[in-house]
Amino acid sequence: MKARKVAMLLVLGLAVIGLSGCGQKKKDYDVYFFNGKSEIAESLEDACKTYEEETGKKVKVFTVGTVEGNETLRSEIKSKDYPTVFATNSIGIEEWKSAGYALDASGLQNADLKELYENIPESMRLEFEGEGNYGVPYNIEGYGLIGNKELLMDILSLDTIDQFKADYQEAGYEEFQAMTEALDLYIQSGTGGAFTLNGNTYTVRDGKSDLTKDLTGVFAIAGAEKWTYGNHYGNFPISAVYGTVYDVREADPEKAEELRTPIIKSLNELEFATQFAAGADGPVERGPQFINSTVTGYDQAIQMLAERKALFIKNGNWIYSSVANISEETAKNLFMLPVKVSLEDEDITVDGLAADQMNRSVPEFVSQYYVINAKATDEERREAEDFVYWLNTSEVGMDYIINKFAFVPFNADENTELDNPLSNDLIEYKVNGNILANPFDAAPASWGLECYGKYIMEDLFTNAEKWSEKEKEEIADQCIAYWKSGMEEW
Amino acid sequence: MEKYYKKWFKVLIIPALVLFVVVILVPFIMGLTYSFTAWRGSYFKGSEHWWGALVGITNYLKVFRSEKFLSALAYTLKFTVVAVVMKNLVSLALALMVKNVDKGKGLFRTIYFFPNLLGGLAMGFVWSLIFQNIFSTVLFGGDSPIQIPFLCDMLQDPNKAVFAMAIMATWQSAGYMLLIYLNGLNNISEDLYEAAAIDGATAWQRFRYITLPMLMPSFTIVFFLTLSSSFKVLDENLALTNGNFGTRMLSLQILLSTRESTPANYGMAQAQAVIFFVIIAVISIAQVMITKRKEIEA
Amino acid sequence: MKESMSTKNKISRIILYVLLGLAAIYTLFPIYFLFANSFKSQKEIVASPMNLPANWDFQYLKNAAEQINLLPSVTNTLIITVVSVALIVLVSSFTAWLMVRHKSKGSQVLFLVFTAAMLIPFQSVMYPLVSLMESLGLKNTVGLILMYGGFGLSMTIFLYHGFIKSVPVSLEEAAVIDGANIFQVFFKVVFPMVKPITVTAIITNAMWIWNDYLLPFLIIGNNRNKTLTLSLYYAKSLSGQYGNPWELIFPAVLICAIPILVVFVFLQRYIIEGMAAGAVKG
Repeated sequence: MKARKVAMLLVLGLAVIGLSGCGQKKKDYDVYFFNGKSEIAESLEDACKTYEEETGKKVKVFTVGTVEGNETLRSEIKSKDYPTVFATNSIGIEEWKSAGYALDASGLQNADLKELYENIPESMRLEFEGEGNYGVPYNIEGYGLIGNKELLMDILSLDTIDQFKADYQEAGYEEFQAMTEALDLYIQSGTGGAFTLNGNTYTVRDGKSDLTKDLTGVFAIAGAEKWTYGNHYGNFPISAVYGTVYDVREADPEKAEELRTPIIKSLNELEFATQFAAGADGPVERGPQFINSTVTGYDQAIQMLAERKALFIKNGNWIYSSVANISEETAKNLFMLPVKVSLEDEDITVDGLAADQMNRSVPEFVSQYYVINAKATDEERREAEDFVYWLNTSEVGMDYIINKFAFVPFNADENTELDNPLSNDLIEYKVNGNILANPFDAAPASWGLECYGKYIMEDLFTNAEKWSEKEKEEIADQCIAYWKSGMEEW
Repeated sequence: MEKYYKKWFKVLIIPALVLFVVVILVPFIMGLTYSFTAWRGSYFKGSEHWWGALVGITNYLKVFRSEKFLSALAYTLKFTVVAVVMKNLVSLALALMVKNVDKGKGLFRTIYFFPNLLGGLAMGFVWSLIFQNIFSTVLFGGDSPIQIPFLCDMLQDPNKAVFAMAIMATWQSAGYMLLIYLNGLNNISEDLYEAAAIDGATAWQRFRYITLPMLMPSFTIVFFLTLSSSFKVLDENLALTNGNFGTRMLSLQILLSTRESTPANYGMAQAQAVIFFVIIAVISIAQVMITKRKEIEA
Repeated sequence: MKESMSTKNKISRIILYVLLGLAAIYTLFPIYFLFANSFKSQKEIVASPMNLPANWDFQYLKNAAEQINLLPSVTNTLIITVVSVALIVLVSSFTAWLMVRHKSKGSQVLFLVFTAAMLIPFQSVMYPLVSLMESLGLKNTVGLILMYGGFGLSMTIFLYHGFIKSVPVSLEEAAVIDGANIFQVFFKVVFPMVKPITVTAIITNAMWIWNDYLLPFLIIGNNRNKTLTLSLYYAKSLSGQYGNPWELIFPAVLICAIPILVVFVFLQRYIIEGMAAGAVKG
């Protein structure tokens, strides 16, 4: 008797679930957009609502974080309810093109959108194996050494930051070191001093002020956040050997040997910089604390910068809104400088790139692209194309991109003026041609996180002592071996 | 009756067969096949269908040359050895003690068994605080009177982490293994012990010459159960260390393998999964063979 | 002689109880720990994890319940577990019975195949399985239940197979003569007689399905109908991007553990006896 009851429950249960699954036969949206940038999720929903008000077309948005983003997209796109436009980048395009989901410009129905695609500068196009034109850039991002100009002007008794900025761009690594040491002396003891940048002298005043009294260190370093150094700092040694993402993919495995000196030098640079790390209550030393996420997590580092406990942070233009949430004043005073590297010309094997050019350039790249799903029906694709066109060219759409998403649009030029001072700096570097690419994105087998960044986090950041030459060389060897074996997975 | 059963058999085993074929058989064969292709998840590299993308044993060769796989394998072996020893010792010791008390047997049994019911992932999070905070600052480090460096920061060092995970795994499964040992102990006749006591055997001698040999069947079961379950550990690994600091075990490695290669190399991941199966199968078959042999002897 | 013997015994007895007691405290400690820290703020947890909370603050539990979508998660997990377990138990017991009763080469081979499948670890089929389920349109809760059904088959059939032999065929014959159809024969005669194994099967399967992380992660992932364990995992990763949110983790884990605690307290006798019975078969 009991068994029969259980059997009935079972059938009922299955029926309930089966029926609930059968509910969604008809699609109640016109466009399904699979978004890859979580920071704009809310504003994007607003943009879609506006689109619906204007055109009557409903856009369904689904936003993922980057961790399982690809896997989720992989299964969504194979389901009955597939996205008709999705986000991917120059690394992911291989998969989507090979699987047949990426629509090339030649297949577009919307003639205006096609023109947009064709106007994308070659260096920014989403290509596969050097061919094709598969997507519209979301934005341009960039990262470098971000500083608080209000504090610097106070410490160096300057009226404007312009001369400093210009000199800093031309300065060499040793000058950077001298500057750091002088600033640290000031921070720890209030003692004045001097240093030169590009040959010009800057004097550090004596005595702290209201603005500078909270400083605990020169740099806010997010030691617990592996990607900030594993990926973004790793980009510098990689850029010395491989110019772009495509160079990485097409190179011979043996070329990885050229990474040895750049890697070791980058470790030297990190060793130097981590001696001047700021903390919430005082300077932070290397050791277990340095990678403790409650001390040096991403949020903590941003907070230190916003609360004027640190002068600089190595991070990207996207931190503007996070800083503004804590302190509008600091946010307004942020400006972007290049990260100084200790490489010499002979360490750099990329054609036409010299050490001083690297030292005045800032890496900028397209983070994601809008890609139309080639396997969708003609009608679905048309709807998606119209949406992408609207978002990227209409006044309302551009307003969202520039102001609400706080993006740097890919077609920005010297006339574009944004609220985010860091974004404006990025445009300036771009216009002047002082940009590096982001070849780290193509590094094999998540090299930045699983190899380079891992060793830095686990072996180096936890070590308060001076890092031995032997150890650095071993790490460089491991990194190169890992890189080569990772290439095999392609 | 024979005919009765025969008539119904063919029809009514269909549900089980369907489930089995769809959920286990077909994926298993697919997996085996795909491990010999350039499978990339949503497509096959170089061809529309799998038969055009065959790459022979390339995936397997790459796997055996892959540092990540080999170190995950080595680490899993290390962990398994420690965990099996710990689990067996602890559960046997507890079983012996529980057997020899009069009152409270049931209560103790219940208490020790309880952790077995809790989820590995959930409790893993709790234990990670215990190791990071309680062990490191309150009990064995920091300002505590007892200082045992080995038990501090256990999750940040691969060698210590083996023991940390083994400690948690033992906490979880000792209660279940305890039941098996208790069963075995209860099957040893009291007369044997009495006879030995009369002959003047000490407690240790009684243990060594009566208890141990007669526990062999239980020991075999526990040994192989702990062996295969330790090898397959995932939830605890994920929750305690997430594979950081060189503590990634095989199951986690297979899971993360597709996430770390770009584009995702499912063919290679599947090859790892097949190797994993072979190892587990060998362990389990060995268990069955040895148990059968012991049964015949007994 | 007798006196020193009994003192020796008394001492060893006390030592045993002390040791067992310590082991019990050690075993229960993480649970106390879990409980105590579910009412504290992040700072308090980090500062004094072992003490009872200064104030029994329920906001953390409430917050955790929200973050893990308590009601939908529990409901989902409950439905999945109950339906899957029912499916496994019914199909396995019925199939095992048929295989025992119909002794042919076919059924022997079949039994071997079912049992041999216990050798296959889940990781070895997970990628192709998910791919297959996607193409069948079953990458959802229904598919999840079917998959649990498939995975639970092997072990449960094995459990039942040995036990069913102890049911006398004569009883079944009698039922057939009385005009019962095959389902009635099974459910009214055989099934009640294998109750101990059914208990073991229910408990064993329910336990791993309720706590399972990997299969729901692959099938449901970050979608709306998460299971309890999955919700916990995602709640932690989301707020835990930049550190461990202990004040969320502890109450969340406690909430996940409470149903198990409750079931255990009420049914512990059955559970332990069932597990012990199953343990004999190994």
